[in-house]
Amino acid sequence: VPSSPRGEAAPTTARALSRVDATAPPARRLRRLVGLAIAAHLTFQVVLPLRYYLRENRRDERFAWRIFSALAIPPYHCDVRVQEFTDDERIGREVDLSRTLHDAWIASLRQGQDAVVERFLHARCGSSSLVAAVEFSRLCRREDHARAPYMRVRRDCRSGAVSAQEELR
Amino acid sequence: MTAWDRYWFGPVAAVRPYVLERTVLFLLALDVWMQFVPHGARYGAGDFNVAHFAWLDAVQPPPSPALYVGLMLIVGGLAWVIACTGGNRALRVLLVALYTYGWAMSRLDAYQHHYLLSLLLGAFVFFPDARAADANDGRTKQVSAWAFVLVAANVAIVYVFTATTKTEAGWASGAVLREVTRSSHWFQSMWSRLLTTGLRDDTSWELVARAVALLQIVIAVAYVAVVRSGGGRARWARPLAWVALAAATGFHGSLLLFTIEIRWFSYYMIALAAAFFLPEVVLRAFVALATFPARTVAQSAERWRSVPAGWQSLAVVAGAACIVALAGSYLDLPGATAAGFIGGGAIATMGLVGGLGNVAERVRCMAIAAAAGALVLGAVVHVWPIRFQYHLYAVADLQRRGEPAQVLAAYEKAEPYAPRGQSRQRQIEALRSRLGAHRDE
Repeated sequence: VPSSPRGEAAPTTARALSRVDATAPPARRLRRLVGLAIAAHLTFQVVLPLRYYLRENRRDERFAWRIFSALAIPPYHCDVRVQEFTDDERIGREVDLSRTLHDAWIASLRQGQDAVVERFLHARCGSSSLVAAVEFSRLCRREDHARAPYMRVRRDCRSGAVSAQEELR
Repeated sequence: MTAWDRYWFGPVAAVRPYVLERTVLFLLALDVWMQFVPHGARYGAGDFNVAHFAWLDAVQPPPSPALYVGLMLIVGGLAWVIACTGGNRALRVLLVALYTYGWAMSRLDAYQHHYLLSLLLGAFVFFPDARAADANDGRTKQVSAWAFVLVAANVAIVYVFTATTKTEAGWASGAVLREVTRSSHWFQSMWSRLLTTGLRDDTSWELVARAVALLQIVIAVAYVAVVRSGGGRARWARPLAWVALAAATGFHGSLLLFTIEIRWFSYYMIALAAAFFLPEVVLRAFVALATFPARTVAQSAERWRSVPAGWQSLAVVAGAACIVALAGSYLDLPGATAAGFIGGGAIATMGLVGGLGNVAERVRCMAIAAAAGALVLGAVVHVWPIRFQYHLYAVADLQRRGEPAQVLAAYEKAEPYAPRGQSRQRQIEALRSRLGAHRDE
């Protein structure tokens, strides 16, 4: 491996990984090592988005390269609400989301992002010892009145159990 | 060598990785300063956050505006220094780590191309250590750059998946494209004119939607094929490169004309396409032009050669550290002063370590680049309404969640930085009188 054009010391093995003259490619062992790393990296890059397509719930598009997807630009509008229940209450108390959360998180709830829903329900459970359960619901409507996603997630604050219901309505 | 080895380790024109790396880093520096920083106020709002990875939530401090803005200013500074000087491997590793933490700390940043940028920055760690002279030495200098080839493969994967998405009914019917272009008056009038030729609306949308998906496949193929077409570029690769360049520039460039929230994604993708598909002669001319000011400054600095190197280093490093620290204080944004001091301290430490070692000249270059970056940042923040936007975003949130006094305080912070015609003095007066009336009651 030739010395650096800046007159520094000859590159170490780590440097040689990337810095070689075209006429002097890396040694065979080094090539094999880098080749394996490349293969592993590319496999990961293919498997990561593929996992999205194998999932039943396709709301987490983060690493799926779904730019301009139907989730990002949906053909429906979703309303979300969160209700808190005490032990002896059948009808829950509505949480004023706009007073509680930043707008960007409300947008995530409208998209039905599971991690955000879960974390918010958990946070509401911790907001008061009187809260026995918290329920999130997301109702989407299409302009053409065709069926659109509906989602309901309920967290029991005492046991931590979460139940979810999803359907097209 | 096996075919696999030849694909990854075969020669590429030195100018290509050089242009790709430096252009993306300059874009990134300006991107984080101009696009990320204004949104800093939402971090930690309402004491709620969800990181991109559950383990990160467990170990990180709760994000705050100061943490986010300070981090982004440092990320921009690092990107700037590496773009100007090439930096070193440690700085590149630091950049990819800090930048990735910047988006991963919260799902508030859900832009998919920020993950792509992390992949690019990761590849840059292993890019050939080239200078402008190497990339622009008049001959077609070639290097083995497997990380550059890997970027091509990665980008091809992105295009393949995004094209696959476009086979779904929502896109293939043209419905998403209709939605994206709905608010564009010029496009609507152009489309209406097109329909007067007798084309059917639905069929035309479907045709355009499918054409976009097809073009993305062509671009993906071009990335993996052209990158290995040899330094001088084989004859078969030239038309493919031009088609891919036109397709990528046309598609991503046209997105800039619509009101879709993808920030600078298009610029990055156009820069990538240019680095991979433009003829080398054009790239070399671009390097010559872009590095002309720096070369001129370097030549005029030759006269300082008479000053002993130790004193030179001391003056340069001390001056640069002060400029960076002062720039941080000037910005008047949460976390900026701390970022300035951290940057200044890092330069001073680097100067000390560099002075003891044999890389004094390199450290001087980095210090000068850091000082220049701090001045550019100061100028950018002065010219662009970055602080105004930052405080107005805070106002928008506080109007819903906060108290009127907090809204007033945010407005008052924004007002000194209001661009002409966008003063919020009327709102400030209204809030003041409202709060005064409350106090009187």
